Amino acid sequence: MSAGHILTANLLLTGDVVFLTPAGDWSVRADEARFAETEDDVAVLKAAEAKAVAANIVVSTEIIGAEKTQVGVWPTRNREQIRAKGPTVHEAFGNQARFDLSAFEGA
Amino acid sequence: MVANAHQIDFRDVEPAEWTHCETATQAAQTAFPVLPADELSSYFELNDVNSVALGVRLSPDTEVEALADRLDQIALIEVDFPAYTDGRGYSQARVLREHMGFQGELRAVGDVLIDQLRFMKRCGFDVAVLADHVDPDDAEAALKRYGVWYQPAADDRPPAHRLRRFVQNWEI
Amino acid sequence: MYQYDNFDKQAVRERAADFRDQVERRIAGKLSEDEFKPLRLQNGLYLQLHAYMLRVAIPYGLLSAKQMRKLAHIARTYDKDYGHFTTRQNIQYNWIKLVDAPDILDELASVEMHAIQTSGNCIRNISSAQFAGVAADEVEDPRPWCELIRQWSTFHPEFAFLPRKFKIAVNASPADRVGVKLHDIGITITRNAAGERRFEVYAGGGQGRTPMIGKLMRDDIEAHHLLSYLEAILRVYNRYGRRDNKYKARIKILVHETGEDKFREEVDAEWRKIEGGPVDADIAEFGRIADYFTAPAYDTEAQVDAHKARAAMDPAFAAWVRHNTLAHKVPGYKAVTISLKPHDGIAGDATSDQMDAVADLSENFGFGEIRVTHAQNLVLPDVRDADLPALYDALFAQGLGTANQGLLTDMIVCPGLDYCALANARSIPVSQKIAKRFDDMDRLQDIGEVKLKISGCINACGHHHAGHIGILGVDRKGTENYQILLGGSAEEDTSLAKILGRGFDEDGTVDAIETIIDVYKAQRQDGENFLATYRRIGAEPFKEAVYGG
Ligand code: SF4
Repeated sequence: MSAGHILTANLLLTGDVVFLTPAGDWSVRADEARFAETEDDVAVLKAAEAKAVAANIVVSTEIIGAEKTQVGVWPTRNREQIRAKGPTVHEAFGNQARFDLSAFEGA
Repeated sequence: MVANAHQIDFRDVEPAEWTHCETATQAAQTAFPVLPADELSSYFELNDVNSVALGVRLSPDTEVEALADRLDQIALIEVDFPAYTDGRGYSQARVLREHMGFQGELRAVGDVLIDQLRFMKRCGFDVAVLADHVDPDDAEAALKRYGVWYQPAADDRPPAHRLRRFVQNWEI
Repeated sequence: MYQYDNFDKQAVRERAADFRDQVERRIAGKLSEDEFKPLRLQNGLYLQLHAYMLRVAIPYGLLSAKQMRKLAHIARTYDKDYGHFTTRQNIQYNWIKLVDAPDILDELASVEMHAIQTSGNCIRNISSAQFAGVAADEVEDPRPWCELIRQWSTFHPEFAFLPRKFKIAVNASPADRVGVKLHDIGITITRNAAGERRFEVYAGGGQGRTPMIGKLMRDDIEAHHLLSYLEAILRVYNRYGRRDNKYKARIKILVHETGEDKFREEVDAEWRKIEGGPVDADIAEFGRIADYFTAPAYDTEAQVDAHKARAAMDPAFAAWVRHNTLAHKVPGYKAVTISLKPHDGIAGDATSDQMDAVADLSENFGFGEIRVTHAQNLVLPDVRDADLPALYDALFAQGLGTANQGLLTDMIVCPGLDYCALANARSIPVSQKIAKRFDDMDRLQDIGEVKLKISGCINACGHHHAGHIGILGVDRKGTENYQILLGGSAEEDTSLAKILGRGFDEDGTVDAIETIIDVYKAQRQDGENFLATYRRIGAEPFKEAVYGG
């Protein structure tokens, strides 16, 4: 397990929670996020952030703490885990309803 | 004055070549100076004044009441909106117009964007100088979009309730 | 209820068109997010944890059946089939797309609704008593005054960029059902010794991170000076309210720092300049507006207590009548509270189907009018006693028949960290665990009236300061933690709750609540409710029981 960072945001047009992927697009899945371990990696996230904000693609960007385990990348903070999954009181909504995220239960 | 800044005229005003001055002495040698409000008392103490007309620039915390004695000698008041979210300038304008009877030109400057213009117009401004990046066509279009107001203010627009008394079966 | 004329219709259409243009400019990059955010907020559009959230205004909590159906339609078409009724008597949708927002505003405009000034640093929706117009103890119907203030405050050109948000509430009975002293301005309509109408105006109350009780500014405002007096307060606030620190920008801080008396003098000085001027001429509107609030055609033959036979044989129904109905000024009628607090649900949430059902019921058992309460419930104001059994059955079938109005499980709960971008902790799960722990109607009835209010952060949208029991979610080193407060009230005996001691995790909180209730039950005397016992015995016995001696 290693600690690092990922870039998250909301899409301007829809408000959807998204994460920057290694390919440079935006995915709704946190486990597909580009994982930044070094300062240089974080600089790449920052550059992508500035570019996407300037292009009016995303809003409310934030570089957040994340961990990489065998099952994948996942945000560290409770708040960000809720964003990644959906409301804990409505299992029918958010990513938890669309994808199998059981590997990240209690993460 | 930024020569190419776009301005929106809510009312017809006399055009003049206003120049911003930092000090009273500088202003005294300028035909159409615009002086910060806190320089005003020094300006009126000078003997050698060659200005044709005087303009004053307010900051949001200027007490407009302090201008009362000199108001008839002021031709232009610029109300500064350092950030468009700072709404003090609207009250300054209404107090100047409605309590103090200021008749000169009232001008909104600073972070003046599109969606504040309709409020400025109603608070008694004659002119709004748009921030550099604002598209004047968008500004004109947005300003035309509103026809209904609910409350009296510093303009002469009758509020809805007054129109209601005269207009029956009013159709749009 | 009030009906829009062509001016009002045009105003909301213009607003919807303007917002469409703002959204287009934002998407085209002509407005930056910093420039756009205050604009979208003034139209009730937030960016929350998972998506945009749209807050729709329900002026003073009053809805027609047609409007309720439109709200259901919006939930179904643009959201995930539900909406959340708020403590400011509004509704909010949690899963809105920016690109859909202009269409939603058009839909709202078609039924005389809007999202104007439901957020942002401006004058917000005017709130009022949910039983306005039907409560027996009212000196008059406050709603025409609310509508007058609503119109005056809508697009007010001077007050669109105040230091901070501004909330006004109007009450018109000795019982305070709006939290008069917990608003930026609270108004109570009264009668003076000579029987003439007077307005008591309080300013500087509020919750949030620095809760304060509003100060009485004047108790002698006459009707034809109401608007000028409000305008004077707002002008002083707009000019002198703090703008250097967001957390000190509410009017309560200005009143506090200036001093109550000096603030009153400043307002009076401003007021003298505008009193009787053009803004007061708006009072000419009052008669026109008041005509919309005349009493509906009540059944003069309505049989009093026609529900008693069913109540005698059905204790669950009897309990519902006891807790969820209120005496009506017209004999043979009741005002019915529809609980949006089922023990397995989410406080204030209603599905599209439930909204449609309530709309139908409001027509079948009333005059097609619905109220939203600040406690996040709904009210059908005009139900004949004879119709109560059928209404109860219909509500029950929709999961809306919980008989807990005013009881422990009728909690006010903010969205918390499940939805809210500002939250420190989740509010809903802890409320659900409490509801589960106390899921026994006999036990709840035995405990009696308790106002439990939960906020997921210090912003206090869940009114924890004003709860008999308040719960405040905090973040303690990355984990959710809950502080318990006791002794608050938002009613005529307004008081602010005090923190009991160190916080608990979710389960610990539920245990502590149970302990607190046990202390109350052991200590209560002659029919005292929770708050009365707390006020008599103080916090100590509760502290001892919760934290050990
Ligand atoms: S109290 Fe805090 S967590 Fe709850 S809705 Fe308000 S801001 Fe969000």
